[in-house]
Amino acid sequence: MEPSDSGLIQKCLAGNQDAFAEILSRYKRLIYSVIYNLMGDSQEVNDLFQEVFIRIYKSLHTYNSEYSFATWAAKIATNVCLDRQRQKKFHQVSMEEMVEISDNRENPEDLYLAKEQKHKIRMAVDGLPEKYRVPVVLFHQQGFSYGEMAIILNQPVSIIKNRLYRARLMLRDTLAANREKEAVSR
Amino acid sequence: MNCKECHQQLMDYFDHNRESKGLQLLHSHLDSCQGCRELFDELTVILGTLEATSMVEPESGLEKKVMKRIQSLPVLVKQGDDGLSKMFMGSLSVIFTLILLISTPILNHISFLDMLIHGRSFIYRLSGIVLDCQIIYHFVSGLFSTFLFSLLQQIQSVYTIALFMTVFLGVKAVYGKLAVVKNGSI
Repeated sequence: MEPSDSGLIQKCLAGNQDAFAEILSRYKRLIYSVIYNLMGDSQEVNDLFQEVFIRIYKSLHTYNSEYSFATWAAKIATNVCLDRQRQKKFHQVSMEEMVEISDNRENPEDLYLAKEQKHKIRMAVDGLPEKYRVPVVLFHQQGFSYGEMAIILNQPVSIIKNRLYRARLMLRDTLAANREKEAVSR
Repeated sequence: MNCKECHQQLMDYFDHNRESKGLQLLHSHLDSCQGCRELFDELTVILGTLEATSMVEPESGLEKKVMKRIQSLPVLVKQGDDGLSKMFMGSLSVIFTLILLISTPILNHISFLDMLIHGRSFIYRLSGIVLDCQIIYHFVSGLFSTFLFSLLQQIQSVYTIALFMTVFLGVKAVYGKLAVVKNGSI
């Protein structure tokens, strides 16, 4: 039977660093995805990935087992990303450096169109103000619930719901405007 | 269902709250309203694309890099051991309180009960002093000796203030130790 997250954390706090390797293995995809979807730049993602897990390791003594470890770790990852973005004040997307779960489409043209569409949607998400972008990423890309997002973002559920509502409409308006621009330029 | 209600229903739909009754009304409205239909179709594509490209696999070798850095950090210790200083402070506060409790009535030739009563009346007098600005007046007018005499009269009451402060510090130190022993919150 697999040890629980709390069990592994207790081992880490007892001085067993190898137990942390198991935690890292369990949550690496989640954390990497959160960071990638919030940041976009591949090199930054790798650096931040390491920084987040170092911070998680150093903060293990503050973890409250009443909350899920995924939520707690995602909160740390989100805070690290937002801090970095505020320092940088810009972010960039590199489509060529994406490493994704394999797509089922086999037709090269379809693959290209699908990638184009993903890129445009990705750019639209990246263009959202932070307070709207983060709920979109956490809900639609990472699958966190409203309750979990309230913990991660330290905001009431009602505010997050409102922001997600507005973010969806903003995304739609942005993409519609881009389509019109492309149609006019042709 | 009007368009405003439809928008709300759409948001519930994309929140994955898809109860059948609401869904029927939604689809019925979408069949008759082109604007809402377009919104639904566009959001389906946008949010569906985001949700399909959520998980990103970290680069190989990143895990090893993280563990290498973790292993160069000091081994974690249980936070309870760090509470030693807090225990010491708490004990010191208790000892100091006991010294004050014993010495104050002896030095002032009053009983313990009288000391507490005197302390309470001091608080009332202190309020009066602040309002009357006696001390400030004495100091400003240069009547230092008068000021000193007033101060000497209050000296025995200072013991009472020190007593309350020490008890407060002692309680705070004990509370801090309890908070450290408990798992921290997010």
